[in-house]
Amino acid sequence: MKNRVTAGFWGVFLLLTSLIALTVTPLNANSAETQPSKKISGEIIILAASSLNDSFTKIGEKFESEHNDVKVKFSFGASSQIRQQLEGGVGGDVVATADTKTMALLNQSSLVTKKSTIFAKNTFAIVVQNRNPSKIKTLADLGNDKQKIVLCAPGVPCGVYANQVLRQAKVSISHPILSSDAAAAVSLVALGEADAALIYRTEAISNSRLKGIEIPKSENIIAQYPAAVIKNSSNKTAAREFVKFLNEPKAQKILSEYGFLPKAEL
Amino acid sequence: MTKQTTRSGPPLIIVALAFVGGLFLIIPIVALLQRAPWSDLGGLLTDKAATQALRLSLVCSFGATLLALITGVPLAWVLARANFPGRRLLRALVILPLILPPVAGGVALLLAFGRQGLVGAPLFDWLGLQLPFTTIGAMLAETFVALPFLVITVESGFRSIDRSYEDAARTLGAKPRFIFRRITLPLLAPSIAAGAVLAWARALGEFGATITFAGSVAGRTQTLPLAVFFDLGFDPDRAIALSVILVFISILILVSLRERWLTPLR
Repeated sequence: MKNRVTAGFWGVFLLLTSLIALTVTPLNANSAETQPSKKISGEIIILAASSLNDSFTKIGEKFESEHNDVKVKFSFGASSQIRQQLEGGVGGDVVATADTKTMALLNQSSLVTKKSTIFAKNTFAIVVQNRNPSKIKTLADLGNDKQKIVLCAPGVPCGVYANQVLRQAKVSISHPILSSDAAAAVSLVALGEADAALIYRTEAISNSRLKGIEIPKSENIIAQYPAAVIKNSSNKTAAREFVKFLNEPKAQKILSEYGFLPKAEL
Repeated sequence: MTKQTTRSGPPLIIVALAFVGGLFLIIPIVALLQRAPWSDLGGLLTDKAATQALRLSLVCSFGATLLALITGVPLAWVLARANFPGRRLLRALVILPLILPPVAGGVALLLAFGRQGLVGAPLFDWLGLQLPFTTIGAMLAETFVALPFLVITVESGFRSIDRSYEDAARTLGAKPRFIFRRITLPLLAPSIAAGAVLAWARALGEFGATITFAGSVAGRTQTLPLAVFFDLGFDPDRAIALSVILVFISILILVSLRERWLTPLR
């Protein structure tokens, strides 16, 4: 009998907790406790554009080594996808996007603190395998129907940029392979299944099997990367420190190693 | 105390857990339907991109079902009735894609039928044939994940046939082809139908193998599930509308299989 009673108790307990869990909205439970001193600690989650994957991972390590008590966690994805996640209530501390438009939209919906800072710039290149088996040289070559060309999907910043480049060069690609974000775009080229990707030049630099073919300035774009602290961050002090760090020489050096342009340039 | 007391329902904890489990499955569907842009549904679903994805989904899923029927019924037959060494191993290998994460299946397909793949490289070098990023490729990816469903359903159909009918026909002098057409096939028909519907449903929902092997090329390989994934970033309303379509198709499938699934097993 006793078993039945405890089972009953646990049943009611589970039922109640599940109901509570269902009714209480997660996150933003004003846990933004103020840090007593300048010393930062705890964990911060950075939601960042997938083109920042390699450079940010490195910057995160550097940041952690300078702030022993801080753990930096990343979630990479298309900037547009990150916005969807934030609108849907995903929590985090810092957001960094591959365009200013997404950041402006985040600002409009009051999901980030007002001030965002541009910390890097990027341009586009034609990314091919090192030995470039399809002998692609110019943007015009991408229009050839025989070539399998990867572009980001039109709703993703790198897709918007790609279409802008193609428009400026008056090239059209009839059946592009659409990728969900910048990092996914080059994987098919690296595998040799696609001939080229029209994507950030930085993607060629972080993969040793790939190289980038430069695009003339007149047809190229400049992508600006802003970062901001997320409004309902539970660790704003550390988050702010990370955003500040992005513009410090140590982080800027890493970014330039990965092919980003310093924000002063261009 | 023994468990003889009453023969009432299950204990409270079971009821509570069942409640939680049931809610967990139902709430997302309710949320989807509640958020669906019902008034714009017509417009969202009749635009070119949506109809293209819908058409492509139907073409690929029916094509995959057909391919599965053509090869799957014989495969089931051999597995159920032929005696040869390694049959159990073959059976395990045939069932494997059922459990294999589809994305791994996609990678495997790429390595087999990709431009540089085991079979794909000679196809490409000699015939200029490439399967990735084509509609046929999408169909093959769907077949890869759908075929095992058909095979196991039909195989169990073969096994459940009372062979004395066939034996009786044989002793009465019927030719094997006659026996198959007039006895085996009619007895097998419900299993083939159920297997085909299952395979079709699985093909229709296929995402991982398709995106990995066939990529996302609008009008060629971007089926409904891929369109949902890509639209979510910049046109969430359309992504939700397309998801609603998929929910309705699933309900239709469930209704058509009600004998099998909606009535509890005896």
